Amino acid sequence: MNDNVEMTFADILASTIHDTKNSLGLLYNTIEEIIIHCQGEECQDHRDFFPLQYELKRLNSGLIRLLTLYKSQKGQLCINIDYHSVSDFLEDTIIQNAPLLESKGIEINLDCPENLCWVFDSGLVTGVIDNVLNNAYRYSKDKISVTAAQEGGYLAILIEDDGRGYPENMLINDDPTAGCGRGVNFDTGSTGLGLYFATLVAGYHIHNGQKGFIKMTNGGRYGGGVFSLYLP
Amino acid sequence: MAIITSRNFTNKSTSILDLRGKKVLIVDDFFNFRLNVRNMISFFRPKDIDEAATGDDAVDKISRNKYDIILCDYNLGTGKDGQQVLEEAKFNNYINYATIFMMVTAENTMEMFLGALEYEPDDYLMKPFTRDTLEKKINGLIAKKEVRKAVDQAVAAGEYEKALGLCNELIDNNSKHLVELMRLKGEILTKLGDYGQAVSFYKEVINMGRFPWAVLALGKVTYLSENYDEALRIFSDLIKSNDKLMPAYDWLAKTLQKLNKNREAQQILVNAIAISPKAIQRQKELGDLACRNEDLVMAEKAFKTVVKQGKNSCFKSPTDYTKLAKVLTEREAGEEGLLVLKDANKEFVNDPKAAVQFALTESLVYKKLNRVEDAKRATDKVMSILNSGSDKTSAGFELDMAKALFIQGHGDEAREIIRRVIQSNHEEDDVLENIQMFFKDLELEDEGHKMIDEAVEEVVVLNNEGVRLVKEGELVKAIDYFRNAAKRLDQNKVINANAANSMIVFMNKNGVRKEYLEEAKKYLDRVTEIDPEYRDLTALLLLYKQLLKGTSR
Repeated sequence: MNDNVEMTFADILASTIHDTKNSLGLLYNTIEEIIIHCQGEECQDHRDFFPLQYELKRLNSGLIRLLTLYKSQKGQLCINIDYHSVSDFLEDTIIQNAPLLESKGIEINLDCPENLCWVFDSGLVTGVIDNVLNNAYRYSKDKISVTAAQEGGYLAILIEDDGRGYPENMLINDDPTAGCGRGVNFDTGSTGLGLYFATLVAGYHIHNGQKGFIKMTNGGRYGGGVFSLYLP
Repeated sequence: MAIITSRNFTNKSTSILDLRGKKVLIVDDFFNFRLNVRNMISFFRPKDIDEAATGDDAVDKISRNKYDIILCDYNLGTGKDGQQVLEEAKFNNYINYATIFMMVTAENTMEMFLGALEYEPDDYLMKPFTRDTLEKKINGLIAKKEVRKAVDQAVAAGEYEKALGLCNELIDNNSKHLVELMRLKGEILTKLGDYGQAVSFYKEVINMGRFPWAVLALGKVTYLSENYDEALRIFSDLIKSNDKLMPAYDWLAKTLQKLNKNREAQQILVNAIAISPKAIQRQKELGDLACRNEDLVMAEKAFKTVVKQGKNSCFKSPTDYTKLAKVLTEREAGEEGLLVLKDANKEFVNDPKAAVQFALTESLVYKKLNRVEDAKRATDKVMSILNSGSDKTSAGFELDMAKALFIQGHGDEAREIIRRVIQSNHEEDDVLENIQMFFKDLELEDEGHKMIDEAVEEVVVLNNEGVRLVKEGELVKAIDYFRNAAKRLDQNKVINANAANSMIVFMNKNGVRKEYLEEAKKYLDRVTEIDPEYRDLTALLLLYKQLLKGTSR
C-alpha cells in the first residue's frame, strides 16, 4: 500500500516536472529567437534577454536535480554508464552555456586531449558541470577555463574562474588519499543543494573499488575558484 | 603524444553544418516547438523540412519519404510515443543505418534510455537546446555514421566475416568511437553464431566498465550458447542493479522457460509490465506463457491488452484475436469470443489468410457452444476462402483444410492430411507446434503428441537409413532408396535434398551421368521451391554447378 502511494507521488513529480520543463524549454527557445532576430536588426536591446535565459536555465537544471535527488533518495536512481569521448562531452556541455557567458563578456576555454575517453554517466555529469558553469557565470569576471586530464587512475575535470574564489567555509577536499579531507558542509540554499548533487553524482561512480569525489579550492591559473570532479 | 584541443568558445570557428539536399522531419505535438526547431534547422539550408504532430502521422510520413534526419519528441501526448515511432520505423525497415534519428526529450530519464536498449535512437537531445547544440550533435552523428559506414554496409549485405575484419581495423585506429565500434563487433560476432568468442569479447568489454548494454549482450550470447544457469545469473544481477532495463526481464523470462520454470517466468513478465506497460510484444509473450501455465485469467487479461494496444501498432497480428477468442471460450465466455472475432474481421479486411484463421476459430467456438449448424457454416466459409485462393499446395493450406474437415466431423480424412503435412515438414517446429495446438484446441492433446511423434519418427528412420547407405558408400542402393522415399514424401525438403545429394556424391566418385544430373536438378528445384533458405541448399547447388562445369569442359 505504502509503496503504491510513493509510486504515485513519483509519477506526479515526474509528470509535473516534465510539463514545467516543456514550458521552460519553449520560453527559452522563444527568447533565443527574439535574440537572433534582434541581432539581425542590429538592435542592442536583446542583451536584456540574456539574464532571463540564465534564470530559465537555472530553473531547468534545478528541476532536473530535484527529480534526480528524489529518485536517489527513494533508491530508484540507476546509473547509465557508458564510454565517452571526454572532449566531445565537454564541448557539448560548454556549447549549451557559451552564448550566455559570452553575453557577459566571459571567455571560456577548453583544454582536453582529443583522444581522452572515459567511462561515466553523461546525463548525471552534465548536470554537475552545468551547475558549476552557472555559478561561474555569476561569480567570474571574464574568464573560465575547463580542463580535463587523466590523473592517477581518475578522470579529473577542473573548472576554474577568475572570480573572488569560494568562501572559506565552502572549501572541500574529498580526495580519500589526501588524508586531510573535509566533508561537504551543506549550506542552506541552492548552492548547498548543488554541492550535495555533485557529491552524490561523483559517489555514484565506482570503478575497481575506487569512488568518485569532488574538490573545491581557491587559486588555480586565474587565482579564482577551482571546482574539480574526479571520476575513477 | 596527446593532442590537446584548446578551443575558445567565444570566437567559434567550426565549419558550418551544411544540410543542402537533405530531408528533415520534425515530430512534436507542440506547434510552437515544431516552429522553433524548424527555424533552427532552416539555418542549415536543408532541401525539405516536414512536420508531424502525432506518432501515427510520423510513422506514416516516414513510411512514404526517405528522411536523412528525424528529430522526434519522446512524449507525443496520448498516441504513440517517440520510442514506438522509432521501433515501427526500424521494424518495418522504413529507416536504415544511414538515417539519423534523434530522440528529443524534456528530461534525462533513465527509464527511457534503458527501455530503449534494443531499438536505440542515434542520440538524445535534451530540451531546451540551442542551434549550436543541434549543429554539433548532427555534425558528430554524420561523422560517426561515416566512420562505421563500410561495416554497416557489409552487415546489411550479410557479409559478416568482412564486416568483422573492417570493424577490427576501425577499433585499432579509432579511440573516439571505440564503444560504438565494440558494440558493433559484438553484434557481428553474435550474427556469425560464434557465441564462444562473443562471450569472451563481452567479458573483456565489461572489464572496462559494467556497461548495461554489454552485460545484457553477454547474457544474450550466454543464453544462445545454451548455458542457461549462467544466463539466469547474469540477467538476475542486471535487473538487481538496473531495475528499469526492460529487455533484461524479457531475456530472464526466456531463460526461466528453458529451465522449465514457467511460473517464475510469468511472474517476471508481470513485474516488467508493471514498470513499462506499453510493450505489446511482452504482453503477447505473457499471454502465451499464461496459456501454457493454464492461468486463463492472466491469459485473458494479457491478450485483451494486446488486442487493445495492437490497434495502432505495427505488431498487430490476427493470432492476437484468435488467441483471445480461444481463451475466452475456455473461460466459458464463448459469446464474447465471437464478438472478438467479429471485431477481428473488421481489423483485417481483404486479408484471406487472416479470414481463414478467424473462421476456423469461430467454428471451434461454436463447436464448444454446441451450435453445430453455426460451426458447419464457419467451416464452409473456411473451405470456400481456401478454395478461392491461389495457393493450394502449401502446408498452411492443407492444414487449414484438414482442420475444417476435422471440425465438420470428417476426422479420418483430416487425420490423413495432417499426417502427410507432418511427414513433409518433420523438421519444421512451427508447423508441428501449430498442429499440436490444434489438437489441444480439440482437447485431443494426447492424440496429437502420439501422431506427431510417430509420423516424425517414421521419416527420421527412413532418412537415417538412406544417409547410412551414402556413408557406407553403397551409392547405387542409396540412390534407389532416396528415389523411392522422395516419391512418397515429395514435399519433404530433407528427403529431396538427400536424394540429390546421393546422386551428386555418386557422380563425384564415378563421373557425371546425364540422367542423374537431370534427376538431381529436379530434387534441388523442389527443395528450392519448398524452402529457398534450407541450410544445405547452397552447398548442394554449388556442388551441382561444379559437376555441370565438368561436363562442358
